[in-house]
Amino acid sequence: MIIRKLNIDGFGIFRDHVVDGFRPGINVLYGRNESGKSTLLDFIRFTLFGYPRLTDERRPPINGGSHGGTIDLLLKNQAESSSLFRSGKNDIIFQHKNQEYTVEKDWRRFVDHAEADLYSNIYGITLDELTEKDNLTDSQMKDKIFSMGLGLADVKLGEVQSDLRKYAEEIYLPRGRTQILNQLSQDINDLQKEVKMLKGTIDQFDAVNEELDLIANKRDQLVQKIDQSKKQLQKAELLVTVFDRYVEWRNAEKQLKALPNNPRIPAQVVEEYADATKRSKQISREVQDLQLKMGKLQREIDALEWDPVFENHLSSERVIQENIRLAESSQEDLNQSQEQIETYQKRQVEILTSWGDTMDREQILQITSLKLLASRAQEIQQQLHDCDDREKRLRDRKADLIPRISESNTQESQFQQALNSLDISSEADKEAVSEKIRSLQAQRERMGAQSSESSTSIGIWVFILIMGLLVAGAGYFIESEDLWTIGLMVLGTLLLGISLWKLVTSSQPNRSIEEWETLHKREQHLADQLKAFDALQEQRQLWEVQNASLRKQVQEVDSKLKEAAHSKEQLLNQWQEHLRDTPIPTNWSPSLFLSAERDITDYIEKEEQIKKERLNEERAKTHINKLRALLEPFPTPDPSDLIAYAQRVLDQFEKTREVLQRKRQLEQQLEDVEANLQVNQVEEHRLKESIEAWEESYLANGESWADHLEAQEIRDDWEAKRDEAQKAMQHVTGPDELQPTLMALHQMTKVELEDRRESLSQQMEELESELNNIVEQSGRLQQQIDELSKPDDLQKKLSQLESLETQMREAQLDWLSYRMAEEVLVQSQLQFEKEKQPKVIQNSEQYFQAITHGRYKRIELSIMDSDIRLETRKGKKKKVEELSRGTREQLLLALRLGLIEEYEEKAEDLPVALDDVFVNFDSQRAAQTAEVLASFAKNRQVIIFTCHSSTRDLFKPFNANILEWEPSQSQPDLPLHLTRPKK
Amino acid sequence: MSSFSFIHAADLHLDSPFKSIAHLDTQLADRLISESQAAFNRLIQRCIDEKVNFLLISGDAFDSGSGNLSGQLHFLSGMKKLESADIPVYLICGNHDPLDKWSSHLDLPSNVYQFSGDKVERIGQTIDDKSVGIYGISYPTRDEQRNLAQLFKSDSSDAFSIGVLHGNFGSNTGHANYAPFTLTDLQKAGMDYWALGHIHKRQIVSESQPLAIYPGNIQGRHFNETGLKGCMKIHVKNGDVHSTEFLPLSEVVFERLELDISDVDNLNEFHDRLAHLAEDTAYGKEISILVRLTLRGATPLHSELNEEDIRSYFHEQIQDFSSQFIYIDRIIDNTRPAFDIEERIQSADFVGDVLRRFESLKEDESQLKTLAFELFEDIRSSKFNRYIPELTEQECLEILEKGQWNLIERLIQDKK
Repeated sequence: MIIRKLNIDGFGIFRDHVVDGFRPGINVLYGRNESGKSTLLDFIRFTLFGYPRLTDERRPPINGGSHGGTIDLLLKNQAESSSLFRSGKNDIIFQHKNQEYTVEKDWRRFVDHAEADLYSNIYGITLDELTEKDNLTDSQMKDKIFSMGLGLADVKLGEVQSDLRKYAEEIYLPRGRTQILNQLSQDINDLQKEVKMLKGTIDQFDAVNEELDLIANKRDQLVQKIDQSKKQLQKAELLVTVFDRYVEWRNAEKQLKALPNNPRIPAQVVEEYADATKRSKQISREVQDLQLKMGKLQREIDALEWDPVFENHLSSERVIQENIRLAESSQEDLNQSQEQIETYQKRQVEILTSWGDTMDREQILQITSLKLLASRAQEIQQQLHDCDDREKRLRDRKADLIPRISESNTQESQFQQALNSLDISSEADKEAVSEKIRSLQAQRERMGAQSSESSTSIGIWVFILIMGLLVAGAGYFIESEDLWTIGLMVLGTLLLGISLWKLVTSSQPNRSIEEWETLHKREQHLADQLKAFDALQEQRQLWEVQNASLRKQVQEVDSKLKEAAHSKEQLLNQWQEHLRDTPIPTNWSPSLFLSAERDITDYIEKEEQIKKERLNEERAKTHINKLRALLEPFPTPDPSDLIAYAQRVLDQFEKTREVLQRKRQLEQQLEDVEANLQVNQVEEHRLKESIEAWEESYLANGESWADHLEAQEIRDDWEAKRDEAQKAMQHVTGPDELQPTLMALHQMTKVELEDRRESLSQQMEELESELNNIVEQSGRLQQQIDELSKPDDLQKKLSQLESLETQMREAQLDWLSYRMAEEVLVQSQLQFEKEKQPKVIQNSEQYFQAITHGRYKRIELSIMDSDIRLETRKGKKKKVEELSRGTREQLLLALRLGLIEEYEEKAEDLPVALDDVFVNFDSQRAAQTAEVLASFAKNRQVIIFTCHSSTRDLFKPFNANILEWEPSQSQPDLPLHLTRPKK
Repeated sequence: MSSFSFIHAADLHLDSPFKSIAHLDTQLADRLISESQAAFNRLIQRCIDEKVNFLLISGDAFDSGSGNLSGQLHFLSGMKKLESADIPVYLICGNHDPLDKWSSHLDLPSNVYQFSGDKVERIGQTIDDKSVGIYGISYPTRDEQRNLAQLFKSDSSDAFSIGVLHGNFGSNTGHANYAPFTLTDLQKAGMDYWALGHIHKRQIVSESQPLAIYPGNIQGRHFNETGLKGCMKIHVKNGDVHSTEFLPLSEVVFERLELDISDVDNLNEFHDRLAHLAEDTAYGKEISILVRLTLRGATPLHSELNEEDIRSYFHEQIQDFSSQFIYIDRIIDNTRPAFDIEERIQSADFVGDVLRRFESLKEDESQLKTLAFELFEDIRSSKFNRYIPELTEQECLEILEKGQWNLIERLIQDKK
């Protein structure tokens, strides 16, 4: 492939730039530093092989334009050019032989599927690549050389392999200790141990449970044995315990057999006999007491004293009591009523007196319908008041009118006087005066006209006067004696004289004016007279109207006053009419009546109250008399104070009642005592009979009850002892076991019993000790079961174990992936060494020879042996470490050139790009390298980017296509300016 | 009979360990362990809350292989709780909890009927004066190879018949082939409903006549057991299945997720995509997720992706595992450098040679396996011998692919 032209739409600093003039062979693109050479190289790479994914690496257009561009190129063995357009988004259009290809794969076929990295690794040779060698160790250098030979420019194959090996060895290394597999294995082992310990809980659980079951059986058997022993021991103890009681029982039996067999008095009978005897004695004593008591009561009764009168009237005590209270209150009421009556009567007298005794009691009491009268009086009174008010208003009104009338009369005289002062006293006079005024007016008008003419001419003549003065003055002041001056003086003088004369003559109208003014004054005077007359007439008319109105009003007032007086009279008549049929004096006015009405009402009320009080009086007296009547049966030492006396009677009643009550009590007691006495006597008799009966039943002849009882008690004691001993034994043995116990006791002594008990006790202890052991064992086993039943970490440990095993597996798979990668790499290297490297070496040898001027003729390179040797012209073999720095550079370059040649045997050749690689070459080496490159470029295109003129000049002898350029950033529309240097 | 309901659960695996989790720290392990118990507790509580007539357990209540007693004890406590609620339980034993592995010293409460291993038994339960027949048979020992389904036969007096069976349907290769059976076996038995167990993935084997369901296990334990786990509630009305309802019980699920980052150019964008991962899952806010994340795509980030860094970044917000979390256990990097390999492999340079060599290995399975075998020779001769995994063809290819990209990204460095 040969690049012909670059059409940059937008790329880095370039916008709408064209780089033209490329040719096959060497093309030196010479431009100053930072002028965009690397940018152009990237443009070529990106356009041919695609823009990178990352934005920062894509060289976006910083000066505008659409990102992308076109390369015009000529493919190998093609006659016509093709063009490849690629945008910044990797859209392509490859135009070739009138066909358009827009699919990336289709374009790549034309370059034999080359990629950007391939291009960089094989066809792009940079300065860094060559100078980096200076910093490498020997082995790194070898690595670099091998890589270069394989077309892996920036990659150190050895390092790649080491890297893969390193990752693998981090996971596993034979006999290694710190690797991941080791650590995982250790962790797995540890965890498995823990799991092992935790596992099998269920088997343990079952085993422990079974053991626990066995122990339980054993325990049950032991418990049974212990029960039996316990029972035997209990029995032995029992016999020992009851032995003493048994002895007691036996003795009691003996004694009872020896006693006589008398009839037994039942305990109840004994008790009853004792009670009866005791009771009998008691009753006898009581009878005696009762008899004594009876005598005492009788005597007391006989000693009581009272008044039979009071006894007979006891029933009236309450009545008297009630009447006393009533009489007391009645006395008070009586006094009160009398006082009230007296007060009321006094008041009545006052009322009568206040009226001057115009009416007496009888009359007042005869008054009926007082209220009606009062209301009528009020009405009439009100109406009278209304009349009075009206009268008052009318009088006020009249009082107001009369001064006005006199004032009005005064005004009339004033009018008359004013009229008399005028020249006009009547209408006829008025008419004459008006005529006169008219005449004067005409006269005056005539004179006025004259006067106005005169006024006008006066004005003119004044003007002329002034002019005359001016002219004359001018003539005077002009100091010249010519005719003009003189003429002026004369003229001025004439004017002055004439105007003066006219003005003087105009003063005559002054006399006319005086006359006119006189006329005018006269006229004015007459007019004033007339006006005054008219005004007076007018006022007078007004006055007359007012005066008439006033008089009329006075008349009306008088009329109304009369009406009011008449009304009053009528009202008074009505009132008197109302009074006629009543005892009230007819000369009483309504107001007087109204003021007296209260007293009348009061008088009548008082009269009513007096009646009520009299009734109260009567009632009180009745009550008092009633009391008096009640007290008649009783002796009355001094009945003046009736109430006190009645009280004394009541006291006496009380005393009598008390005595009588006491008498009844005593009599009642006497009765009770008698009854009691009878009962006791009967009881006494009954008891005696019972006692006799019992004695007859139980006692033998001559035997006393006490003796019999004593004998019976002795028997009872022994029986009690016997029963007690038996009861005690039974309490210990139980009712069912008593007889067998007695039989057993009968056969053994106490010593024998105690020995047996001892031996049984020992046996018991042994059995219990064994049981305790078993219980302890059982407890331990149960604890184990509880412990086993607790939740444990087994599931967690198992899960963690699974996790570790998963990690182990994953780690091994990772290890395998790295090892596979390494293996493929090595195999590929071997294959390359076997199939391709010979050709590469062969090609490289030629170039190396040429570059070193034949100093070295052979290259021996074995990747697998990791060995590089160079054979000199003289057949000496040198290692890479023995080469100089420059020679190493030459070797690298030669290998690259050899690789390119080998690659192009099977693929489309691509333009070789060298980016300022000669900067560190010395001149000789540079020249040699230039020569080699020129030769190399014969069948291909080599583009050398440089900013050094020395590099540029290197290639001049070889007819290289030198392209000097200065990109113009300020004028983006201009194409990139290319000039060819002048040869 | 008007209607009744029951819950069908299987494969409780109360004490089985969790597997395939590469990074299981203590806190996560504690949470998972408690979660497996919690799922069982939720099963018990659902039975009580739903007031079901009975509970069916189709085997593998616990894992006898672990030798752990706590699983059985925990199971027992759940059964006692159901006894208090008067809910009967009908239980068969499976391959993980065969009859001979149950402790003879742990007595099941009276509400639990454990079917024997001798023969298929019928237990009748009367509901509304109608008889519901529940048939079942346990594994006497772990290794049960008989076709147990053929032993089932419903009684004509049943108003509704239920068969409880732990076995492998249609020789499913994903599970051990215990008690294998076919659909025909199920149909011939005359059951109305088959309560199946053994396969951990929830599935309906037969939609009707009969209805046969594997409810799946109640808690996933492996990245092969993804999604929500639980039990089935069956509602029967007038002698027919009226409705079936899945009741989720697990609050921690395993999930495999893939993320294609072909269009991602930088790590920030990658982290954003990772952060939004949670929003893309279909579970509610109470569900925690254990994720195995596979990254795919050609991306320039290929060489920058580091599993530990990504996990650390993603997990920095997780304080502990007691509340809802999303945890990426592993990140499988199946990305590759951003270049066209199909083109590159045709180039005539060394890198092309390398790619072609990888390609030939991919195409030649035996050569690849031989290579793997030879390379493992190093480890085989060491103490780690017993850990060497058995590799499937797919796994070999994946390992090779990974190795390829590890090598290629080192060989291809685009020179600026």
